[in-house]
Amino acid sequence: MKPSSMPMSASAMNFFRDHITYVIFLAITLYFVLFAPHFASVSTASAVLRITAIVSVMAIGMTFVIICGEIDLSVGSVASFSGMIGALLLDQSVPTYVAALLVLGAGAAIGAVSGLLVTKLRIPSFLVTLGMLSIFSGLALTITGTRPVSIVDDDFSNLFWNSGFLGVQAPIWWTIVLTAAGYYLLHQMPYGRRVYATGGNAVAARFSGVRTDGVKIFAFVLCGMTASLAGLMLAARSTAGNPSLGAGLELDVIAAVIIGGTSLFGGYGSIVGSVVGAIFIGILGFGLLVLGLSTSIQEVIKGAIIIIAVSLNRR
Amino acid sequence: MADRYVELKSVSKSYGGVPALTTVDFRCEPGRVHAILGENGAGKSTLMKLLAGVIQPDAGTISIGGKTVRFSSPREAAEQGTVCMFQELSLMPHLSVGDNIVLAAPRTRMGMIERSVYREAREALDLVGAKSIPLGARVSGLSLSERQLVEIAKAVFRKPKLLILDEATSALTSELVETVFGVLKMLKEQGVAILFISHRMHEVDAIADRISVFRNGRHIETFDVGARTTDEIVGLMIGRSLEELFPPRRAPVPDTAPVVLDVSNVSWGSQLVDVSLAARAGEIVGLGGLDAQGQQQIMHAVFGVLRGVTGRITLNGKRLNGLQPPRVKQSDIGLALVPEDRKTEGLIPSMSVAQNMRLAVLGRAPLGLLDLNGGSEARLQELIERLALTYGSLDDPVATLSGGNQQKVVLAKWLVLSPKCLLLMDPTRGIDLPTKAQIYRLLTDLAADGMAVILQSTDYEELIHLCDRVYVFYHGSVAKELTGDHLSADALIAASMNVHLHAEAQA
Repeated sequence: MKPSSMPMSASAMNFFRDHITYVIFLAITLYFVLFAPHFASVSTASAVLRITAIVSVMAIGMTFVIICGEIDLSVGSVASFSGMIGALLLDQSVPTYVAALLVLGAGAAIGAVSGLLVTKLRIPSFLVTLGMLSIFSGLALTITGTRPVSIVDDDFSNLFWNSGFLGVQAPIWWTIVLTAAGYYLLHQMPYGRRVYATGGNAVAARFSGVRTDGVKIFAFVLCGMTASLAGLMLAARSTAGNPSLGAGLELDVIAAVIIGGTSLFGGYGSIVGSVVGAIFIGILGFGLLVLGLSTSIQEVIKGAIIIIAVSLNRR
Repeated sequence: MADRYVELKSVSKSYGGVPALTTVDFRCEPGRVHAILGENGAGKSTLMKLLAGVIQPDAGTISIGGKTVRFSSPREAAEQGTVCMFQELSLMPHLSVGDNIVLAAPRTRMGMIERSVYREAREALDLVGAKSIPLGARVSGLSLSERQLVEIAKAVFRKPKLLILDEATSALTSELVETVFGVLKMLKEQGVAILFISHRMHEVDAIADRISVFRNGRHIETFDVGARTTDEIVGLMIGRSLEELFPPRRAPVPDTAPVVLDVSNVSWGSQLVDVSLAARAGEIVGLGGLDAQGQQQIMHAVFGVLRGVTGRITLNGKRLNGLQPPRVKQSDIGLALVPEDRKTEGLIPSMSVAQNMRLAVLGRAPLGLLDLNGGSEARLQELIERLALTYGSLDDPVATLSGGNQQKVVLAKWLVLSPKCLLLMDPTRGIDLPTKAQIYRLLTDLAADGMAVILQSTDYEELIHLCDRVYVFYHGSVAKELTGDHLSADALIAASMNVHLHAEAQA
C-alpha cells in the first residue's frame, strides 16, 4: 500500500470507466476530420475552443452545483444580466477592472441568494433557479428598456476576448485558467471533497461534520461568478451589452456537464469532463456547420447525440 | 398436513461476492406458523425476499406445492399466493385505505374497479380488528399502528397461501398484537402457511408452532416450539458461547475518574424528557431500551444534530449546547459519533474507502492542497491495521466492502481524530460475529486508553457484557440505571418495559 501512488492509478482507471462518452467524442471528431473539408487545422481548433469558451467557463461553475446534487438554471440569464451591467458600468466611465470585479461580485451575490433560498428555505434548486432565470432575464431587458449598450472600452474587449498571449487568444486563456482553478478546487482541496460528500450522501456528510448548507451555497456562488464571467466575455465579444446574449445557454451548459460524466443526482463528476463536454458540443455544432447542414437540422442531430452520449454514460 | 407447501433445496444467494445464504434447505407446511430466528445479517430477509420473488437464487430450487418455481418478480409470486409484509410499511400515503387495500388486485369490469372489491376490503379490515378505520380515510392521516393494521388487512384481502410477516408486529401495541395473532390463528386454521419473523421471543412463543434458526446465511436447526430453552436458542443464534464473543470483563472504573460527558436535564420536544446521564474517562456506558425510546435522540442531541434542545450538555467542562458537528469534532472538544445506519448516515457510497476515511479529518488539513501524506495519514494506516480492515484497494468504492468492513471504515473515520468521547449507535447491527468480536475488543481497548465510550444498542448481550453501566430509556427518559450485579438480561428487559422486578424498587 503506497498512499502516494493511489490518486494516479485511480484517476487513470476511473477515467476510462467513467468516460465512455470520450470514445464517442473521439469517434465523432475523427468523422469530421475525415469528411468535413479543412476540419483538421489549427484555425479550426482555435475557432472551436473560442466558441466553446463561454460554455466551458459556465460549465466549470455548474459542475460544483451539480455534484452537490443541485442544479442552476439561471446561468444564461445571469450571463445576459452581467453583460448588461458591465456595459452600463463602463458607459459610466467606471475603470475597466473595477467594473469587471463589480460584475463578478454581482454574480457571486446572485449565486449566494439562490444558494440561501435552496438551503435555508429548502426550496428545490430547480424551482429557485427557474425563478432566478425569469427574474434576471427580465431585469436584463428592463435596465435599458431592451436597448443594447455598446462598449467602447478597448481594454475591456481585449481583456475578455480580443487580445492574445503566446499566440493563444483570451477566451482560450480564460478556459485554461478556470479549468486549472476548478480542478484545483474540486480535486485537490478539502472543499472539493466536501462537495462530493454533500452530493454523495448529505446525511452522512452532515454526520461527518461537513456544513452541507455552506458547501452548497458556495457552489452556487461559484456558479454565479462563472456565469457573470461568461457574461463579460459575451459582452466583450460583441462589444456591447445585449440583454438576450446568454438566453438559452443554460441548456448547453447543463448538457456539457452531464456529457462530461457528472451525475445529475450528485456525487460524481469532474471539471475536465465538463470542459471536454463543452468542447464536444462545440465540435459537433462546428462540424455539422462545415458539413453544410442547416442550423435547424443541426439542433436535431445535436440533441440526439447528447441523449445517446448520456445514456451510454449512465450510472 | 404433512405435505410441505414451500420447499427450498440447497439454495444459495450472494450479493457481490458476499454470501447471504449458503446451501439452505428449508420447508414449511400449510397450517403452521413457522418462526424464523437469527441475528441481523443471518439471512432472514434474504430468505423472505427469495420467497416473495424480489430476488432470485444463484443456485438451488424453490418449489411451491410440489412444483418448482422461479419467480422473476414479486407480482408472479403474488399470483401464486405468496403475500409478504415487509418491515417498512408499503402503503401509499396519499391514497385512501380502500384503494391501498385493493391496489394489489384491482379486479375490473369494463376498465372500472368493481364495487364489490371494496366490500371485500371492508371485510378484510373488520377481520383484523380495524372496524373503526373508514375505507375512505387517507393513509397519511392514520397513526402508525393503524397503518400496520391496514397493511395486515391488505395481506388478508389477497387471500394468501403463504403469508410472510417480517417484523410486522413491531409497531403495534400489545393489545393490537393480540388481535393480529387472532387473525393469524384463523388463517392458520384455513391452511395458510405463515412465516413469522420477530425479535420478540415472547411473541414467537405465543404464536409459532415451529422455529428455524439461521446464522451467517445457513439454516442451523429447526425444532418445535418448547423443544428448546430460550438460552439454547440464543446460543444457536450466535453460534458460540458469550465468553468467546466478548472480551473479559474489566475492573470497574473508580469513582475518582474524571467525568468526561455530562448531560443534565436535557429535553427535546416530547421525545426527550429531562434526561441526565454521565460518562467517566475509561467507562463504557450503555444506552438500552426498546426501539425509539429516546436513546437515538439523546445521541443526536449531544452531537449537535438536533435543534432546540434544552438542558445542559458538557464535555470536559466545555458547554456543547448549540454547537454543531463541525465544531464538536474539533480536537479541543473531541466528540465523535458513529451513526445508526452505515448506509444512510455513515458512508458516502459514491466515494472510495480512502476518501470516506479521510472525510472527518478533512477540516483539519491546512488550507490549500489536501494533505494526503501528513500526520493523519500515518494514523490512518495504524488504524487500518488495528481494525484489521479487509479491502481490495483503498480506492475501491466503499460500497464494495462487506458490512463489517464498512463499519470499520466509519470507525476509522472518527478514530483518526483521536476523540475524547465516542458515541456509537448500534455499531454491530448486521455485522458478522468475528467482526463483532473485533469491535468489542477495540472498544474495550479504547476505554482502557481513557476514552469515554457511549454505546447505544438494541442487543442486550452487548449491553450486559460490554458496559460498565447501562441507562435504560423508556418514553424519552431514563427509566433506570443498571450497574454491576444489577446488570442482567431480566433487569434490562423489565426496565425497557418500565416494569419493576424487585419489590423494593416499586414506587
